[in-house]
Amino acid sequence: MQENEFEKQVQQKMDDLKLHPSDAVWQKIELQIKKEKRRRWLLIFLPVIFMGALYGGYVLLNSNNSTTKPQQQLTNSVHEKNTTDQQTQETKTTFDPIKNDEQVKENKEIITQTTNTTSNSRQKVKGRLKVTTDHNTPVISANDSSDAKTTLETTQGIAETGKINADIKNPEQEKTIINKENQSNTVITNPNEIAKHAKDDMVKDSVATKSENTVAKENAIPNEIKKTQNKYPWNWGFSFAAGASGTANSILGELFGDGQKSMDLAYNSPGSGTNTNPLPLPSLIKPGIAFIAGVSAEKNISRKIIFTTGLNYKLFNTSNKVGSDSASYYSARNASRTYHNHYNYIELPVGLKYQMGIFKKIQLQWNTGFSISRLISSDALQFNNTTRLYYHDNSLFNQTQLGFNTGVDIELLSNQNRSFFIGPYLNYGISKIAREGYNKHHFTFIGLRAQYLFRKN
Amino acid sequence: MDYHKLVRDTLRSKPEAQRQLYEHFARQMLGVCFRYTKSITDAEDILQEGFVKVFKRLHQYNFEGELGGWIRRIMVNTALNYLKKNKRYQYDLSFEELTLHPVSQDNPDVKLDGKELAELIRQLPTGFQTIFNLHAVEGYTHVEIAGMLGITDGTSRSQYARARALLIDWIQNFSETKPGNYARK
Repeated sequence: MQENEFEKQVQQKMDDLKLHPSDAVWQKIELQIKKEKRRRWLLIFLPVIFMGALYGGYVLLNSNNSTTKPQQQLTNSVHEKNTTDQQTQETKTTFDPIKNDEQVKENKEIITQTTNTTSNSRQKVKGRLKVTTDHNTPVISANDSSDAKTTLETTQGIAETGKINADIKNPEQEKTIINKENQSNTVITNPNEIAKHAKDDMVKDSVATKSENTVAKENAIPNEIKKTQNKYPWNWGFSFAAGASGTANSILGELFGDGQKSMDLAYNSPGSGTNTNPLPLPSLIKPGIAFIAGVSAEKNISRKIIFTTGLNYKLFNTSNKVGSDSASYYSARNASRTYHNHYNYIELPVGLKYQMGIFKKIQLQWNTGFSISRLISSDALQFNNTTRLYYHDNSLFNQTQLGFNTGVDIELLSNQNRSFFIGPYLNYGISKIAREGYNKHHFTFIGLRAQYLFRKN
Repeated sequence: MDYHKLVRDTLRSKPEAQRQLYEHFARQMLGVCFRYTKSITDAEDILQEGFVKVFKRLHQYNFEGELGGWIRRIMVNTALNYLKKNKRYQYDLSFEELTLHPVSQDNPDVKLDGKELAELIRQLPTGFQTIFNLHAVEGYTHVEIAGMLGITDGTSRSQYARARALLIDWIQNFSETKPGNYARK
C-alpha cells in the first residue's frame, strides 16, 4: 500500500533516533529503586517485628505462672471418665477411602471387534451393547438402539459411584462380547474375566478401525495428566500467624468470653438460690496471645484456584482468674490471680485459595479450608462443680479437633521465584476443646498471617 | 548481549546489572519519549518514570518478544499517562471530531534525519502528535488507539489523516515552513 511507504520511512528514522539523557536521570532512577527496596523490606519486617513484640509481651505476661501442677484426677460425680471411648470417638477423619479399589482398576477396558468362534466360547452380538456394573456385578446386555458410540468409558472418573456404563455400537461390523465358557446368553458376571479377555483383545485388534480412537483417547489421558502436572508444580513455603485465641460457645455466638452465661447455668447447683452461702463461680475464660507457625505447600489446580496444605505448630492461650493454690488444685474463691492456659497442637491444614484478582496492583487471594489438630500437651485447668476447685485433667480434652479457617492473603512482594503474602486470618474450632465441663467451648483465633512462598518456574 | 543473564541479574537487584540495562536502552527510549513531548525535560521525566516501572515489573517479562519492545511499550504507556496528567498537555490533548479527512496518497521521500523529523512531529498539536506517533511509528491500529485514548476509531483515523497531511506538507516545504503555522479547528 502506498500509504505505508511514508510510514515505513518515518518508522525507520524514528527507530534509529537515539538521544543521550543527562546523568541526573540515572541518579533519580537509582534513588527511586532504593526507596522501593526499603519500602518492600519494611513491609516484610514490620509483621515480623510485630510478631516479635507479641511474643515478648506473651513472655512477660506468663511470668505469673510460677508453678506447674501435676495432673491428678479428682473424684467428680458430674464427669464420666471413659478414656477408651474418647480415643475411639476422636479418631475422626475427614478423608474417606475410595471404595471398590479393585473394581476401579479392573474396569478400565476396551471391547473391540473379534471374529465369532465357538471354540473359545465367544458369541456374536449385534446392535448396542450396554455394560453396567453395580459394585462387583457387571452385566452386559444387548439393546437394539442406534447409538454411535463405540468406546467403553473408563471408571476412573466415576469409580465412587461403583457404576460403569459403556455404550458400544459398530454399525458396520459384527461385535462380540467375551463370555464365560458355554454360556449362550449375554450376561457376564465376572469382572476379572472381562478384564482379562478385554486386554487380550486389545493386543490382538490394536489395528482395528474403531479401536484406534479409544487407544488414542487412552494414550491422551496420561499425556494430559503429565501436562497438567508439569504446568502447575508444587510450591513450598513457610507461614507464621499471630493473634488472639479465645473461646466461643457456639458458631453464631460471641467470639470471646461468652461462656460465662452458660457456665452460670451449668455450674450453679440446684437450689443455690436458697443457699445463703454463695458458691464461687468459675471464672470467665479470657482470650490470650496465640501463634500458628509451620510449613506450607500449594499447587494450582486451575488458573485461579490453588490447593494448599501444610503442617503447623499451634499454640493457643486463654486465661482465667484463680484463687489460692495447693499442691494439685486452685480455689475458685477470692479469684484474683491470673492463670494462663496453654494448648499446644500439631495441625494439618487443607484448603483452597482463590485468586480474586489484582486490586490497585496488589494481588488478592481468599483462602479457606479445614484443619485437623492433635493436642500435644496442655496445662489448662478444669473446674470441678462439686468441690468448686480448678484442677488438671487432660483426658477431658478432645485430643483431635477439627477446625475451619479462612482469610485473605495480600501479595506484597512477588518475583519469579518468591512471593510474600500477609493478611487477616481466622481459625474456628468446629470441635469443642473438651467434650464437657469448663472447657466445653469452641476455640477461635483471629490474627495476622504472613506467608513466604518459594515458587518453582 | 545475553538478555537472559541481564534480566536475571537485574531481578537479583545487582546494581551493575541495573545500570547496564539502563545504559543499553536509555538512548533509544529517550528518542521514544522525545516524540511525545514538547520539551527534552519532559522527555527525561517520562524516561525516568518509565525505567522505574521497568525495574518494578521486570519479573513479569517472560522472554516472549524482545526486551527492547517490552520496555518500549512501557515507555509509550508512561508517556500517555504523563500527557494526561500534565496540565501543560491536557488542553491540547483534545480529540475533537474532525470532518472526515481522506488519507493523502502522497508518499514523499523523507530526506530529513531522525532528529529533524522528530522535531517536526513535535510541532504537531498534541492530539495529532500522539495519534501519529501511535499509528505511524509504534504501529498501533486505530481501534487500539481508540481504546488507549478513550476515543472512537473514526476520530483516530481523521486526526491521523490530518496529522499526516500536515507533516507531509512540512517535509516537502521543510526549508520554508515555520513550525506552529498549522491550522486548528
